[in-house]
Amino acid sequence: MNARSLPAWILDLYPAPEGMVLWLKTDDGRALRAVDELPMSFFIAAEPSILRAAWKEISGWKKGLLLARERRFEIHRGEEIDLLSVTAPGPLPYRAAVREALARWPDLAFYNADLDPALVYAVERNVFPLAECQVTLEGARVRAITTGRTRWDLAAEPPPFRILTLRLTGELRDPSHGYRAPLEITAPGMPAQTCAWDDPRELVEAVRSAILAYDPDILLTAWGDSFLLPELIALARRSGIDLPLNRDARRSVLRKGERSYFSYGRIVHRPSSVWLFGRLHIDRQTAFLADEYGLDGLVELARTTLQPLQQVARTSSGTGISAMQTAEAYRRGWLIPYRKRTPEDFKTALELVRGDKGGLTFQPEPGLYEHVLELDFASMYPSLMVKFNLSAETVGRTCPKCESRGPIGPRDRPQVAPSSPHSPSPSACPPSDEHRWTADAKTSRVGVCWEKGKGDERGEKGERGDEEGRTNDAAELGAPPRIIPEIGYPVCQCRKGIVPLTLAPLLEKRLALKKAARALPEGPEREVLRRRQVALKWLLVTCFGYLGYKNARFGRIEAHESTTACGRDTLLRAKEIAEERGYLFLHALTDALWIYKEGSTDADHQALVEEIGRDTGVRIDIEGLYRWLAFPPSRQYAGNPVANRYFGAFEDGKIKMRGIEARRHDTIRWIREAQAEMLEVLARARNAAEYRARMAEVFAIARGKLADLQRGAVPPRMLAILHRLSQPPEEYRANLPVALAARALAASGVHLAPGESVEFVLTLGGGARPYDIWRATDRVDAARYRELFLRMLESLAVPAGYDRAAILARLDGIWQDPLPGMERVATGGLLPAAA
Amino acid sequence: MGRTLVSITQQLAQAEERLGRYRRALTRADQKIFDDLFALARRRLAASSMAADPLPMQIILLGMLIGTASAVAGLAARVEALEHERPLPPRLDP
Ligand SMILES: [Zn+2]
Repeated sequence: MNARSLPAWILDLYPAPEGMVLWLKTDDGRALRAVDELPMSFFIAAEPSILRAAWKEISGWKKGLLLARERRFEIHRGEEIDLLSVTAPGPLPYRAAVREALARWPDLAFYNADLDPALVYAVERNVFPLAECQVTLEGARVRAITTGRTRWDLAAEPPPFRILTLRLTGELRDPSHGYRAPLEITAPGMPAQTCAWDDPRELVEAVRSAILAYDPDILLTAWGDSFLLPELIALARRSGIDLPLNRDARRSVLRKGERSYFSYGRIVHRPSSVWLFGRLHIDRQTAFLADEYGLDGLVELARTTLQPLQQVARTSSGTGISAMQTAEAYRRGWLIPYRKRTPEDFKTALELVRGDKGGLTFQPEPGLYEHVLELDFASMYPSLMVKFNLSAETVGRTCPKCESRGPIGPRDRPQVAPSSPHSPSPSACPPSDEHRWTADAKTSRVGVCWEKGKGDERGEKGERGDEEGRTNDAAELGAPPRIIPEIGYPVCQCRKGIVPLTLAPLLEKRLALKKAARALPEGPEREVLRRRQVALKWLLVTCFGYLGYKNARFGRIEAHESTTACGRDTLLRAKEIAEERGYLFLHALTDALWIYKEGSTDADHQALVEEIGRDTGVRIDIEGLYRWLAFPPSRQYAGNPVANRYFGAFEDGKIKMRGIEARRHDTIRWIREAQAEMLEVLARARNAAEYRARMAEVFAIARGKLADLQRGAVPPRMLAILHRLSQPPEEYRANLPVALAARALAASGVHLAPGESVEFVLTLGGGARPYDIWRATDRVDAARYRELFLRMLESLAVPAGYDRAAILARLDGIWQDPLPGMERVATGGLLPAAA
Repeated sequence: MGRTLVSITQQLAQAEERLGRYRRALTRADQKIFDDLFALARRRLAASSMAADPLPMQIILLGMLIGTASAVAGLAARVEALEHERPLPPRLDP
């Protein structure tokens, strides 16, 4: 058979009985199915006698497995260990053999036993998902595949996807709660079609002919995972029509069921999903965080984390970090610990991290301030992990090599011996070393670390340059162990850890993307760079939490604690430098600080960030100078997460807000939009005095909104409250609104699982009506909404000096404002016209 | 994330709760001062968390003391300014 060579994009890859299936998107727009072989190995570690017995037994299985004795590097032990390696001819026999071996020897240590074939293929062939490749094919067999690109390239065109969109017409509403509207089928260059659900045959035929005519690479849906595709598949089966959702005719569509589970003390709902073969199904409602970065971000993530697109669209950034670490270890031939649980429940852990990052949290004095400077450390935690070599296997241990050099202590402070509850676990550190590093720690400044000495030119060398760099990485870095401030763990600096190795190129790429975006004028090109950068940001945000996550392959709590300790030290150092330069300290939070100095200039600020960056070794940026900045009072003290609530206007009039109603996703739309409108007015204030003056306009807006509410002129859609179910509807005892709403939905035949959200509207008489089954006869409870509105208004008014009574006085129309903005009141307010 | 240690935030809340009956027996005026003192300690939570002291109450008390001293210092500066008929220094919250 003749071989032919052609340029093509790797659209998708998955295992099959023949090996790996690759879907290649050629230059002329066709999609080809090709197959390649992929032998895969796993390892068993045990006493030599046990390994010999295992060898004997496995060779009796007669499954074409290749057995060998090997020695490989085990990162947690810091040395090579003896192994039995078992190599299967392809991904499917590999999985079968792992399953059998795990069942036979459940107590032995397994390595490389749960690898994703797509990731292994990418590393083995030095390609990546969605890469532009040169492929040599012999029939459908891949003879060679190469790419001139690396996953770290900044210039990276997305593949020329053909995208077909399926969604219900109208506003985006969850159809599994009963919402129905005609199906809309759209694709570029095709006339849009809408089909009603009352004729299933016609509907399925329309979808079928659209797929056949357009042959999309991506099926983009809204609620395709939980509703649209399952429903279409069922209708197609009933009407006996073949619906070619897959391109790969040999496979049937893969459906994964929904599931609710406990994670970090709260219940999480994972919706069901529909996976296609040869075509990619992306459900924008389940695509993790995709609202923030779109398809461009997903493509970036698929490439960077070496996961197929359908997978990155459905898993958390914790999974992405895990995949990158696995790839890094695999490429170096290091052993990959077998992980008994998947990292999917990390999704919730991420949400926790966003609230409480283990960092230093000050309590700002509530009030209104002017001329405040905000400084933010850029990717502080990942930078510190790279800088101090913080990794599961480096923290809490020393080796003979670094022992001889004597430790480096934290900056300018006598080293305190670690107290016993904080001591590293004995297993982490050879007993003979344990006491020595605490005894005579010297003091030194943080700036000296290995990446400044020996170059870490990973970015320039790129992927393949690293092949030769492999020995370099393992070689001595020539630095003494570092002692972590506060907790006193030593950190071995002799070998780069898996976590810093994974993060360094990621940090570099994100920084480069940001820089490239800044150099472009506002426009689509810049937006693509921004989305790619934001997608990587989420990986970086996650990597820190993932280090402390109990089910992470390469996680360890001591490394996580060391990162926060270094973070606190870095933040306090920044505070000290600012105070030395005459700034007053106002507030600080994990990796950002708010300071103030009367009459300070841009040059002062620039000099300050330069000194902090130099001193701490972590880049710090000026987020902005606030014309005015408000810290609203926190309503209750003991609550967790800690108060991170502020809003202010920068010099250019741009508003920044955190934790207040307009920013929170669980705020009802009516209140969110009202507050946004008020903030728009306040953004025009140039200082605190003008802020106070503009409150008159804010109260005028408030009077108008409250009058609308009283009149019943606010549509229920604007008043729907989104709430997550913490238990099955029938198990709620108290008559909370969420319980009432969930029970009403359940009674109307909607299935609700714990962790799912319901939307409801508060109704008269203490009731709550699910928005999906709202009736024209239902009456909104204006009093309860008025109270919610007032609380929102307090966020804005209390910093300006109004308490509840003063706010009410303003709203009830006793006050007459001498200031502009009263027109609204005259037309729709509650103010007596006589005033 | 991380180990579930009782944070200083929780310890402070617990201390305030434990003293609930004590507070109840105070006069209305003293109750206000009791609450103000806890507010002073709360404002110094970041420093308290850095102390990692096995006896949280002494750190809470120290926060109240520093806050009180800071208020006194502010007042002293104002008194001195008044005595010398200079413009008043800005009022800083303790
Ligand atoms: Zn070492």
